[in-house]
Amino acid sequence: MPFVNLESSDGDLVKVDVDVIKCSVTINALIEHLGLEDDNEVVPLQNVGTETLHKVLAWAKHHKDDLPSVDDDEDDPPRERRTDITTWDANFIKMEQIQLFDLILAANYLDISGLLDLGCKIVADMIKGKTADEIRTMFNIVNDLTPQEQEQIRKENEWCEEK
Amino acid sequence: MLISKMGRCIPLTVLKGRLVGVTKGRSSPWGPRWCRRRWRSNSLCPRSGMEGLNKLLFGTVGPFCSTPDMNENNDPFSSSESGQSVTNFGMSAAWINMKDRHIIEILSYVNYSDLLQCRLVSKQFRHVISKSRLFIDSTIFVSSSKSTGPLLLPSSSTPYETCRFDHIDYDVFTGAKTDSHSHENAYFSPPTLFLANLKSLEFANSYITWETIKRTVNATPALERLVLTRCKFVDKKNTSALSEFEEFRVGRTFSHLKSVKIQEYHDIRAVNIFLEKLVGYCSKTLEEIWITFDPSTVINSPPSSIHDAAEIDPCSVHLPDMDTFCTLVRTIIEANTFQLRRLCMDLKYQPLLNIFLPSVFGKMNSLWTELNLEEFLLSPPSSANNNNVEISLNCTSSAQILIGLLESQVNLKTAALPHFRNMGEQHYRVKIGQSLSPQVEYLSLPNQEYLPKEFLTKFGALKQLYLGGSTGDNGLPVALRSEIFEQPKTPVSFQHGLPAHLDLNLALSGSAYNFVGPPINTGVWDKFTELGLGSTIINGIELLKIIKKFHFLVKLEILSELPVIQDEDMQVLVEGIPLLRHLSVSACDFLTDYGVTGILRNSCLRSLILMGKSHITDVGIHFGLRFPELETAFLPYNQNVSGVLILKLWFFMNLPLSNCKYVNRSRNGAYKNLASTTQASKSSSCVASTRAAGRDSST
Repeated sequence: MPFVNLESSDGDLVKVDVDVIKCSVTINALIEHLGLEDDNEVVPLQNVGTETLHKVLAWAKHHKDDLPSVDDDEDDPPRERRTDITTWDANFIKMEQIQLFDLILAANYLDISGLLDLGCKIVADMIKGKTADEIRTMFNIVNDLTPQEQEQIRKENEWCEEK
Repeated sequence: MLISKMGRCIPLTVLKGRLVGVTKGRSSPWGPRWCRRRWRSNSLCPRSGMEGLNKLLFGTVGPFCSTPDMNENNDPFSSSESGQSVTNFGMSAAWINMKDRHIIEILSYVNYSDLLQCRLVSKQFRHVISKSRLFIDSTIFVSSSKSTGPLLLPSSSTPYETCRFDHIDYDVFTGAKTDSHSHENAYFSPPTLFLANLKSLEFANSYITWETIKRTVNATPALERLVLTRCKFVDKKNTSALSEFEEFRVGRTFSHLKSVKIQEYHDIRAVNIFLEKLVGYCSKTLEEIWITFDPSTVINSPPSSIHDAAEIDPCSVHLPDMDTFCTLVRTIIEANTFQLRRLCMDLKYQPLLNIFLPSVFGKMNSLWTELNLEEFLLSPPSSANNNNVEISLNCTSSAQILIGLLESQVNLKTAALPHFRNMGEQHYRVKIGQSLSPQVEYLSLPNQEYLPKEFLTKFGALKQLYLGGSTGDNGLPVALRSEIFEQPKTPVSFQHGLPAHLDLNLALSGSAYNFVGPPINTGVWDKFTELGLGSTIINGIELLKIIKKFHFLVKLEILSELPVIQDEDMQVLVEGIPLLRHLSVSACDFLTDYGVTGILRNSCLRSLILMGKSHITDVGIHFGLRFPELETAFLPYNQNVSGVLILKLWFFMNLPLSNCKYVNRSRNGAYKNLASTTQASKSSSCVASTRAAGRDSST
């Protein structure tokens, strides 16, 4: 079983089964294009911290047997695809907000669509049903809109809500 | 709290809304391919029976446990899992790393109303939402204002078909009204490229010049529909004139318009200005004319930004203006006689309606036979705002003209008529009803006096009948909406027993009404299988009287705003109407567990929809909702429902779990405000519904 060594931004080396990490399009492409000379090949991941990397690998390990995603059968109604987060995923994603965002960034960097979806869904879920103030507080976002701008947006929103 | 959000409150349906346009929020996912890819990649998770069960749990429990206080006590699922609490405050820098594209990914899972809130969060959010193609569909909304710029930046390549310009002269609202002349920069010049394929164009809530419209129309050669909503024309000096060729194009577009819709709530002269132009351009292809003039709306609603309070005075509508209006409408109808199909004159202003029929249709009676209308609405009852303004015809000549006109329209499919109020000439009401074409499918009449005695046999094609509305006899809004699905094969036999239906009539019209015309027999009502009642004045007893008359009801909707249904009523309702399958009650504030548990088990109720603040608790759900055929149950959120028993309910109902589908309707702050305000609980009650897939549960 071929292995690949991933180096996190913290400098730690993690040895991973290629089967596990093949869900990452980035690394998969890397391996395919460059080939694996020996088991000591090191792939540096400058954007992924050790902690996050372990999280990603844990996710990838659990999902390594999933069917590969099939693109485009237009006939299927999208509704059928709206299955939701499994118990394992739900438990897995329980983490601090900062870790969650790191995970999303890592998933995006490594191009792991399943994990990216999961993270985005979770964040979207946090946003759901909240007012703008609550969203700002929750994510610690600085409000850089002027009162006039806010008023105008409110006005526009009212129009969008009506009818 | 976050744990609960993350762990259990995963919505099973993420409704994708459009940011703009009319359809928002309901369905029609934008960016279909994009979304599809997303959902597909998530369907990979291995599913076993148990996992399916858990998924079910998320959807069911979620809405009922989202308030923080419920997380701790009532829900056994949270206690075991929320061991490590997740803090979400004070984490700086996390969000800063997020790039636009990540925000887009995240927001693509957020539904429409939340998206609107997100626009208010920060500049980055607003920018992302305004720019991203994902959130824009084929409808555009342009609001030109100095402070924020356009809401959406459309790209030229998109084939937009509808467009609405709203508040396009924003600065006018901040300054004095007359200042609109001096705002050079406020002159709106639309980007011509994206207008090229427009079919429908709307200007709303704006001070506009005729030049603005001309310029826009010049850029939209394919325009078919022009809508003006609450626009005020202002004279604009020193605008650069259009070239001869541009004028020609504008004229050509105008003369090929198919549909024109004008809504004005204040000044009939604004309508006149537009109609004059339309006449001037010789529009000869109009298929639809829709004019709304409703000063009462302005009086009753708080003054909005565009019309100053001082301006709101229905007396400002002068007789000469109304004469001009009628002449213009007549000219347009005459010019478009042959292809005009839909004519809606929603005139909610009594003096105007008085002169409308004589001076429009009275003067063109030679053309009646040439007209071939499919839809004719004259001051139809407005369901949106029940302002208690009575609009009625009150002279005999109007009624005669109406009768003559209706008789000549043999292909009429949709008709709505105002009340005829002339005590000496009651028989005209019946005549009006009789003059309607038998082809009519949708009919809206002030009350049942207008119905011919044998109306069920006369109107063989009738699909929907609406009695009452804002034109009720005493001005009170009364609505009886009945949808007829089963047409009787044999003529209804009539028995004249007046006392028996006086009660009925009393209840239906909601007022002590002197019944003069030919009575409609209860036998007629017996044939109704669906009934919707919407009124604020029907009380529980009257309701029961009505119910007694309808033995064959299959579907009953009680849409009153005030709580009328009490426990006993509920039981009598369900047991008294043996065939009742679908029951929905909009305000059930008095309803307690007893109301549900007291219903006999053998009821064949298939769907039960309760809105408002009911006091039904777990007990009621557990022991009450166990009808053998129940498929759909909408229950209002309240503090007493824990959601655990809801889950059990699904088992009792013996539904195949894999077929269950949950609709999680949530809007802004729904979870929080539900208990506190009735409004919130009405509009955004968190709803758990299940229906067996494949079966049509018409709710």
